[in-house]
Amino acid sequence: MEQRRDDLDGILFDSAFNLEVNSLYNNRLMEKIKSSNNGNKKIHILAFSLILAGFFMIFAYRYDVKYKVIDIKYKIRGEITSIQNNSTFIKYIIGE
Amino acid sequence: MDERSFINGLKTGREECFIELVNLYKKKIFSLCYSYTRDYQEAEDLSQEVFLKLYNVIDTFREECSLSTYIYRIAVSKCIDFKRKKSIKNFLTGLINKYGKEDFAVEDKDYVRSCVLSLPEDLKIPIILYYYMGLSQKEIGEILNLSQKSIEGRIYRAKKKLKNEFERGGYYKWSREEMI
Repeated sequence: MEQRRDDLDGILFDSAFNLEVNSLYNNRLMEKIKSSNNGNKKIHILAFSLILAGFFMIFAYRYDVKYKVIDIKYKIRGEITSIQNNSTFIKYIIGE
Repeated sequence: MDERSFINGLKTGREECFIELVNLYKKKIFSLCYSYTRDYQEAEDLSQEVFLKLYNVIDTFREECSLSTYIYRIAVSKCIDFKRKKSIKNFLTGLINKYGKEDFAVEDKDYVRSCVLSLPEDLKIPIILYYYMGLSQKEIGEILNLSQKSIEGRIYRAKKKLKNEFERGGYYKWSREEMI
């Protein structure tokens, strides 16, 4: 049973906030709801990318991808050097 | 529109139902949030978070309590979260007691509000819900999962504390004299 109201109750009721809500409140809320739905999609994409990156790192570690990349790099560099040497040799023969 | 059709409308994603619900509760939820934030913009954001949360979790609402109780529960937990985050932020920035009494001792109403806000959390929430939002002790009990007796006791203890505080500040005596 609620007690009978006294003057302290009156003071407390009087001190209640008398605020008016902004007229654009509903529009802003609906915008937030729409953007939160889009935000969820963005989070899904981000989560998927992170998982994929994790798998790639495991794959790279498991199959020594680092060394294979270095191997390819030096193979390409070797090919380029040999082509350059050949062209220098041909120029020398031709007399340029 | 009755509560049952409201809930069905919300669960089926009818926007007009949601808007109607927002219109019905926004002022009270906003007041509750404002009593925690003391900032108009922050109160608006916080109250919108309440509705946003409701919108996202309405599918899981099992109707064990009324819709209003459910909304107020979300609002109270959001406000407590806000206060916790704010106190951590204030602690980190070295601005503890940013909302101290000295900020509000300008007007009588502000003084009363500042005393209410300085109450311990378990006493403050029933006082805000009862006096500022106009809810009954039974409703407050349902929101906080407490008995009506317990709410009555908390309001009584809070009033006692406030009375002591007002008397110490010379406010209550003055106020009584003016009333007579």
